[in-house]
Amino acid sequence: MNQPAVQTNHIKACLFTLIIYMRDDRRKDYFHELVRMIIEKFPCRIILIEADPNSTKEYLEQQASEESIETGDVVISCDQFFIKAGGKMSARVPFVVLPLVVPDLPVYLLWSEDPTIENEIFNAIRKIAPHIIFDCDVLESMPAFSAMLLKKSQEFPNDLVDMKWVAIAGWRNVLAQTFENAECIQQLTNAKSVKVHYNAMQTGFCQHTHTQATYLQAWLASRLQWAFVKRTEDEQAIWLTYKSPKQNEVVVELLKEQHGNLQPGMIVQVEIVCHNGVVYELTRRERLPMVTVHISSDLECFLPFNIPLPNLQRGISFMKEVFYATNSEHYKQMLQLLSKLGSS
Amino acid sequence: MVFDNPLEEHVRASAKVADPCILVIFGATGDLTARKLMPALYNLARDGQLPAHFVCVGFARREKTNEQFRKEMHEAVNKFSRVKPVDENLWTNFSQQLFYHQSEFDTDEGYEKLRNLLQGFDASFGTKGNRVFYLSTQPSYFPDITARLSKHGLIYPTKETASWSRVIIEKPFGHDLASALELQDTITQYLNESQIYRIDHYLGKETVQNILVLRFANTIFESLWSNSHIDHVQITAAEDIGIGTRGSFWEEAGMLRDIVQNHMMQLLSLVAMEPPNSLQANAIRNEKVKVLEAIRPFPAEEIDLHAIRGQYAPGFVNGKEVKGYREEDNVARDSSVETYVALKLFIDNWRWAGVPFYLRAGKRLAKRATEIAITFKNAPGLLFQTPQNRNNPNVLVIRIQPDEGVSLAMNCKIPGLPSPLLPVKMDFRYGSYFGITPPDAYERLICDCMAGDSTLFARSDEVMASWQLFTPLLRHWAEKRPQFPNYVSGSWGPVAADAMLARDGHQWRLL
Repeated sequence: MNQPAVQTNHIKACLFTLIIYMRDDRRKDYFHELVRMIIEKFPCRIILIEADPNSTKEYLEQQASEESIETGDVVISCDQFFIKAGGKMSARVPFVVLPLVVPDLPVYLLWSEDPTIENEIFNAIRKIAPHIIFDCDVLESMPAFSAMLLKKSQEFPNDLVDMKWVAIAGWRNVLAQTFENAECIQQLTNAKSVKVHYNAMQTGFCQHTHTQATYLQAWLASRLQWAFVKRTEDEQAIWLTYKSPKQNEVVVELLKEQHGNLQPGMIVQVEIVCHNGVVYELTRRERLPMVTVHISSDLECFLPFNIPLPNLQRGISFMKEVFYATNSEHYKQMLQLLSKLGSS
Repeated sequence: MVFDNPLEEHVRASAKVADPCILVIFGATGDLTARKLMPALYNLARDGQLPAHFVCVGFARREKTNEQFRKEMHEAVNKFSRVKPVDENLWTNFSQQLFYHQSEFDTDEGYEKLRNLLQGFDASFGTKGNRVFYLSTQPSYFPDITARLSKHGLIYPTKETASWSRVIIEKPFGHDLASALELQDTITQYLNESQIYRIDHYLGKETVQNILVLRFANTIFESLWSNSHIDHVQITAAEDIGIGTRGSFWEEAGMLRDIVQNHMMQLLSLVAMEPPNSLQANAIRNEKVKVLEAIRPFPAEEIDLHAIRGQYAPGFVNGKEVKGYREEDNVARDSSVETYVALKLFIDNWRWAGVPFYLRAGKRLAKRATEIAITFKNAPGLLFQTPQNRNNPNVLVIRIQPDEGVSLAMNCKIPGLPSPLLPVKMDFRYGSYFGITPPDAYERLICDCMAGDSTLFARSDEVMASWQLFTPLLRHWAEKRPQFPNYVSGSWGPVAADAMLARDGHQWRLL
């Protein structure tokens, strides 16, 4: 439990150990910000590993520090360890990590590299971390990632969480609330077209901006039992064609937009046109954590309504989903579908 | 047939889905709406917990426009919300769902207009005919409001329509057993038990909910949770403030009715209940009511040895001079209303036979603190007990407010020789571990009501069992004029309360 530190009202707190792995310092700033955000909500021991087994230099360095957060009149501090290794010395990293793990508390591993690339550090650490979080922005191939993850989920007992999957939880909820009855689901299942607009503005730490949009459409397709037909792509958009259970063609379009005020990859709008002419337009509100839903047809136009969209890029909802969500059957089914798609 | 939405994944048991609905607050110009209800609704909206299709209507007697009501509520949220400052964009959006309806509580016309208004909202906001009526008025209006809601088709019998209607009733539910039974009889002419949500905001507090988790998700505590290992239990609800502007209310109520009969009995029943079969509302409430029914009635001849009342005299709280109760506004100069209650209770069942439960609640005490302290029996033998060295009992403390958390006191050897023992504390604080402002109790309870979960609301038999216990005491007190005031503001209460514990070889914990 708490260990009183030197200062009055200074508390050392720890809910779990979080091990973060990155191969190089490309996304270091991003992870530092993430760490800060995590310990503000959930104080924990952080072990940050920067290790490149392919480096020609051989080194192993270790630093310890303390990160403090002020909440009212209490200062809460968390241990932070930074391990840097290169070349063959990388193999020693798990042995450095092991004694640093806080006993009796959960251990999380945030793997920020492409897990399809074999890495002995991953194989060693995943045995002590029952909960593995992937950040699949670094993926070279989404079908390969999906297939690998499905395989791993059968091989390992670990809980697997994907940060991009978590990031679309708000939109999944919005769609579930919009299509809340059997009639609406029927319309959606037999949709003619689905357009997903997303923010394609890249940053240094986010290059694969289409991931969230790809996930959202794949989740819809897997839930509605659409069968994948083909995939095409140009500079502005990605097209995916499916067949609905009634053999209707459903064309999904992932459309790039540029929004400086939104985080890269965020979904901006979803537009669904059904075969009976009903159009569902779901638009992210500016400056408000909400989506406005507008339903119309040739004959009628309903009053728009808002559905809350929790901020799942950061903040407490994100943390709860990342750290406390268990394996999702929807996620697994989406991966199964994605593993069959052509290269994305 | 139940529709199973393929887009919904029910993996999180805690995630409650509130149905589309309209919340009508009766007494919307009152203090509770401004201080608690509206900030709770705003924070629910902020956290994305309100249903997408939602409207709130304030129902009160004063003339007011929608715009005036929204402006006043905006000020209230700015002042009382747990999260500040108010997000203006969010407020603008949220306030579009706020409306005001002016009417007397006892005229049919206002209810007829309300029905039309709500039906209009169903069409424009998609609220599907679902209703929550929050009765935040004087209790004397409860029967009339319920009757008129029924008469005008605003509350519907369950199972006859797809839409639902629920009523949240603020405390006090009656002022003794007879009045509580009468109120129950009246409102159940129009509502069945599943539609009645008797709110006790203590049950919405995070730490109170954690009592069940602490007890039933941790084997180390539950295996010690009985008269074999527990010496006694102390439950304290202390406030350093006085009655403030609530003189008229307090003169009618008093501490026993305001705090002890409801809040403290809820805490006691959660601490003492047997493990429920499930976490379903009725499973938990069945166990709670068994505890209340097992409490030994006050012995008629020794009632004053088991129940102490007090009233605060002038004194000093935190170094500031404060008035006595009889000097407060709207209080009789010779009032015999109690502002302090201390009780010794026994629960006559297998688990708790012989374990005293000491309860105390008071105004103008030394500090604000609500807690449950479980004092374990002393370790057997005298291994470490010498005239210079006392073996202190282990005490498990569940702090409800402020500084919510759990601590365990245990004995430890001081390093070096000779080795006297010292009590040390393992301390868990919510605020330190979870950098989250916990939701206010009203947020949780309103959300639960909209989702149809009555677990954290008091059931009628719980309320009646509590009144059954306290009505003879109230009668006894009414017959006997007390020597008031009998404790100084800023102290820990009357000497008689200390003496009650001293007779058993115990003492109140110094908080």
